[in-house]
Amino acid sequence: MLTDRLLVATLDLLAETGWKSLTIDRAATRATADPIAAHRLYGDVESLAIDALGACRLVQLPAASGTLRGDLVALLRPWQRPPTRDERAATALLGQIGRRPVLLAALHATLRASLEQVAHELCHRPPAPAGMVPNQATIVLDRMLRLLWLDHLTAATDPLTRRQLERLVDSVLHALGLPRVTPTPGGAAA
Amino acid sequence: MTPEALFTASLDEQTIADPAVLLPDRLARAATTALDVPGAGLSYTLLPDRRLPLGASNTMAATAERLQFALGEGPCLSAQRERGTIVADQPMLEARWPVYTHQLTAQTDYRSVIAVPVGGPLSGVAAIDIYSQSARPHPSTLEHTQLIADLIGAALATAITGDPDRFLGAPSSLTTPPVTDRRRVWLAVGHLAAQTNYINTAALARLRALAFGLGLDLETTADRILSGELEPT
Repeated sequence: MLTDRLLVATLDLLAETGWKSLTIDRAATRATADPIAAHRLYGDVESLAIDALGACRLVQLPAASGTLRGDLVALLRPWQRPPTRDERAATALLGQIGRRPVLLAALHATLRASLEQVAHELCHRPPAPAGMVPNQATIVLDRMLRLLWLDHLTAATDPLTRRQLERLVDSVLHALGLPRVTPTPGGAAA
Repeated sequence: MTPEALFTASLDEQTIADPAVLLPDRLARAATTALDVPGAGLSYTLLPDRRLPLGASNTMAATAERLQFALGEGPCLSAQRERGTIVADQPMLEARWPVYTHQLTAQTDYRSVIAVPVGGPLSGVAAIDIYSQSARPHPSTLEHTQLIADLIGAALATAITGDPDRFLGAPSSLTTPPVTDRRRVWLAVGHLAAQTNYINTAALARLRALAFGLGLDLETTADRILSGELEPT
C-alpha cells in the first residue's frame, strides 16, 4: 500500500538523516511512489511524520517471566543493542518538539499509552510486587518508565552492558520499594 | 531550631512566598538554610552517565553543576557513578578533579563539596550537592547532610506520584527547565552520533570539543547544532 511504503520511507529517512532532510517529495522518492499522490495523502510533512510515529514500535510488553524483576529486565533488554530505526526516528522527532508542538502531542500520545499499559500489566501479573498494592506500584512504575523512555529516546542510548541493565532495573525496583540485587561498589547489596 | 525544623520552615516559607518556584529549587534552597551553606543543587541520573540537573538554590550552584557536566568530571559525577557519598574538601578536589577545581575556583566562591544520594525510594536515582566556601565542609554540615538528603528524597518521592504531567507525561518535579535544557544537549549528542556514526560517549566528547573551540557553553552549542546553525563535521 502507498501509505505503508511512505511511512516506512519516512522512518528510514528520519533515522538516517534526521528531520532536516525529511520532505514529502523525498519520502515519495524513497518509497518509489508518485509525489503528487503522496502530497494528496499528506498536506504537510508534520502529518506524515505523525503517522509514521504511529507505526513505530517503541515499547514492547515482555512475556511473563514469573517475577517483576525478570519482566523489567526483559522489557529493557532491547537497550543492550544499538538503537532501532524506530528509536532513531523518534529521537529525530524529539529534537523538533520545541518548534513543532504537534510532534510533542503525537509523541506524548504514543509513549504515554504504551507505557501505561506496560506498567499496569507488569504490576498486575501474579505474584504482585511485595509490599505495595498493585495500583500504587503501577503509578510509580509508570512514572519511572516514562522518565526512562524519555531519557532513552532523547539521545538513543549507547547499548547498555549487562551490569548497567541490572543497575537500572535495581533503581526502578528500589523506587517501587523492592530490594535491589546488584551489589554496590562497596560490596554489599544496597 | 534543628536543621530539620529549619528545612521544613524554609520550604513552607518559600511555598507561600512564591509557589511558582519549582519544587527542586525550593528543596535546594531549603537545604542551604538548614545546613547554613551558600549553595546546593539537585540532580538525577537514570541511564548510565545521563546526568540531569533538577534544580539549584541559586545561579552559582547551577554553574557549579554545569561545570562538571561540561568537563565530564567532578565529585558529584563520581558520587553518582559510585552510588555513595563523597566529601570533597579542597585538597581532594585539587588532587582528583584538577580541571574542574580550577574552573570551580575561577567561576564560583565554592571551595568544597559534599555529594550525597537522596534518601528513600529515589536514592539510586537522585542526589544533592552541597557547596561550601570553606576549604573543608563544617562538621555540623557533614553531620546533618544525610538527614536533609533524606527529607529531600521523601519530598521528591511524594511529588513523583502526585505531580501533574508535564513533558511527555513525566512528572513536573523531574522535568524542570534545567532538565529540559540538558535534554537539548543530549538531543544534540544524539544528532551528532547519528550524523557521524559515533557512539554517544564520543559524540559528547565532540560536542565538548566544539563548545570549547567556539568559546560557548554546551547548551548554546547544542542549540546551534539542533537549529542547523552549526554544522559539525
